Amino acid sequence: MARLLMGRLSRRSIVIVVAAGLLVILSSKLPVWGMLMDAPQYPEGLRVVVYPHGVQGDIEIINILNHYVGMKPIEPNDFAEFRYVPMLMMLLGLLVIGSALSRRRWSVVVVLCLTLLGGIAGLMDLQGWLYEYGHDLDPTAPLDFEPFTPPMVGSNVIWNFETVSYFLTGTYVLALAGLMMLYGLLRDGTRVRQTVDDATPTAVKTSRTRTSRELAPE
Amino acid sequence: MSQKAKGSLRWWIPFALAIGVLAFVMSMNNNGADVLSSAPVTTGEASAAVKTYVPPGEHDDYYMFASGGHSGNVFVYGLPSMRRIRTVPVFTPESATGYGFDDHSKEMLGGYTWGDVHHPALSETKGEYDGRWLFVTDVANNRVARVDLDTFMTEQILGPIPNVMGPHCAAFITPNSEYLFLPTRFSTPLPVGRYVPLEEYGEEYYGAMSAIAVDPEDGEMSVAYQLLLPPWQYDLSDAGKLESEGWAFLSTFNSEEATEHLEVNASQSDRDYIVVFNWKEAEKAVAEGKFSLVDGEKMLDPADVPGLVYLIPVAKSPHGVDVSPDGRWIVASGKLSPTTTAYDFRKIKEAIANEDFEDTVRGLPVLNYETVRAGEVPVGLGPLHTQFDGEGYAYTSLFLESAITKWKLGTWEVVDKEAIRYSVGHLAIPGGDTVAPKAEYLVSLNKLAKDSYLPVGPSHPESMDLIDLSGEKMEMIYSAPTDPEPHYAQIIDADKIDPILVFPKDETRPNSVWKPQDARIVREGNQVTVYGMAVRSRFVPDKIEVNEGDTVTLYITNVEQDSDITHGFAINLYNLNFEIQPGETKKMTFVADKPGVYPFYCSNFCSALHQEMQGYLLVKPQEGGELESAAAH
Repeated sequence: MARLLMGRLSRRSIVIVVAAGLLVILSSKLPVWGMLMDAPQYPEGLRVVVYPHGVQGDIEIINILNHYVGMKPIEPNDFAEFRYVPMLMMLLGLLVIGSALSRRRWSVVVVLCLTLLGGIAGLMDLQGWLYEYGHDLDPTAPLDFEPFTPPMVGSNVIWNFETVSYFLTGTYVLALAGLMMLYGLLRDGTRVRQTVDDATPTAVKTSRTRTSRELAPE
Repeated sequence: MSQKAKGSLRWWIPFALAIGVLAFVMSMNNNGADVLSSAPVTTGEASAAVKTYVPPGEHDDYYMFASGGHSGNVFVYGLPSMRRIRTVPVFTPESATGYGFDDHSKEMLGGYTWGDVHHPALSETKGEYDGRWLFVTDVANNRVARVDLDTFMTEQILGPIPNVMGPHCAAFITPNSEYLFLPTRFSTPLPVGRYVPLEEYGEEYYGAMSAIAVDPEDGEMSVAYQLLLPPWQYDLSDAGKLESEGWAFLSTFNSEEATEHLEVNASQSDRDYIVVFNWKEAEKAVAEGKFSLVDGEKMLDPADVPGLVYLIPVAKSPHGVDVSPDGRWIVASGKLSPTTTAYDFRKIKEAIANEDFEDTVRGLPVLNYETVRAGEVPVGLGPLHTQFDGEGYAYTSLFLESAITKWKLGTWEVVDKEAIRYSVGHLAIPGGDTVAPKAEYLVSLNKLAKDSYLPVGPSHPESMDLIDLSGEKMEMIYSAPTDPEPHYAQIIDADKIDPILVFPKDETRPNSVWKPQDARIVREGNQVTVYGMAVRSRFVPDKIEVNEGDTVTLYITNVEQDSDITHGFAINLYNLNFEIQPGETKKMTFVADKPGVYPFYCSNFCSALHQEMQGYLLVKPQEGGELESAAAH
């Protein structure tokens, strides 16, 4: 573990971690989570698409339908997240790039942890909102409805609507960025270990491979 | 004994024979019925059924816009299914949509409660339908209307247009929608409203044609100029295209100038005329100021402006005149003749250039018939209208013979004939009057349905037959009834039309309300203005209190952006109703002249709680109001 924190990144790992940082910045522009509501009357379905900076889709139509079960209208202004999350993600991306350029392994570990924490916080926030929308129901609504929490991923049925929720590209890009940071750290980790165990690791390895190839029967 | 037996045999033989024959006939009838009811579908029928079958949820390939005749409306069909998709109210109020009830449409109708819609004209660009607007004319009240095809709603009605009386000959549109022309059916003294006895018909009556300019941006129509024509009847028309662009052709009858018993007196001459009109020259003449003002309109007199109008002789009592897709052939049919005549536009131009005139009538040169005629086609009895398929063939409708004839341009030979039920008037092919027709279908718009459908009493529907043109022979594949009475129809590729499905939300629209908290009622003297909204499943406000005699103006916005979520607004016993489409704001003004309590409700089923979508209009009696105000003093 201590090895993981010490030392410097290899050139290739710098490239990988810088790329991860760019992906983090990119993901701040991409949709992260969505919901598709299907009903016989809506053959094309109704969509909610959440971006770090806002929510898009058939929000007005969904709000009008939701009032029958007493759900609050989705108002982008209610979400302070949309104002600061994109900035935090950009900042995180810059930190990742900075950590890579500093070549200090410990700093990459720190930004990886930040990315993980940010991701977990985002999921918890989303879960909180889903709970909030499913539970803060107007008691005078025309349709009496048991409070519920829409699933973050998966499907459920409310009256004539079947709802499917799923993560969108932004989330996958962010996860990929995290994995790339981890990979950048680990591949150097292996190299460090090899350097300690073997005096001439790469040279021998490559020459051995080459030899075996050369010896292989045509 | 044997003789007696013979005699007794004889007396019943006729009875036995009669019973035998009767039984045989009855059994034949039964067999016939059995065969009919259990007949397997023939291959031809099955293949025809497949050709018109559009599965549920699938769309048709073409829109057909059929005039609604004296219903005053336009009918929209899908082809090949022949399903009637919608009726667009144009000249007649329609309670379902509230057309003629809300202020905007009521003002457009101008107090008229019906119209007689004859010939639709889709807007064109470079001689092809462009899917922007549909223009239709009202023969009854001398008007022309524009239906915008991004909403399928009537957006403008122009008229009654001065100096026009019954624009049956309209509307024909020029290849880039520069003008719509409205020639008149009836000749009258000018201006309309002036009294002149019929005895002075020849001197004081005129048929005037209106040129309606169409704004290329928004389709707004206005009268550009008019053309003074002899006191004849102008019947049908088509604009030249490609090589004949800049010209127009009108059929005219009653060159006898009869005023009474026209079926006899207007059928005496052996020939009438096709009017050949150069609208580009007319444009110049107007610019040069060669007009006089009649009832405020710029009137050109072709007798004073040479080069504007020529006449071509045609078999008597002509009806349709149609220009082939390449613009070369002008086809005109005398409705009492067994032939149709094709004129060659190139020869027409030559005759004009050479001044090859056989006569001059009312100051208008008559081109030499023998020079300009290209062919006479023995199409059959009672030819009326001709459409083209773009592959060198023409199709002429035969009213008397109840059939469609297919013939070849250039060789003038008849190649096929198809019977229809019954007595066809106009016919329509996709793009059949444009530079680019599609030889896929032909719709025969018949004047009589007779026994075609389940009987519904003495007032019959009209009938429309669908004919497949894809083979060498025409093939009848379907028949559909329609309400009275399509005259002409135009068929356009469905891809060319892409209407909006909701009105876009526009919070800056004057008088619109999009949030319940912005809804309000404002009183100024006895004018009460309601700024309200409709949303599933409520009106805001849903309590409107006024005093008897107040003028009430409602602005109701349907705040939905969900397609097909239309709300209605109906007030019991006030004889008022209108529809508000998603995203639309409608205005309606009325006088609260009935005291009492009147519910208002959503009249267009909108949601599971539609029945709950209602409110109350409370009209305080005037006496009570006066007493109260007196008490306050």
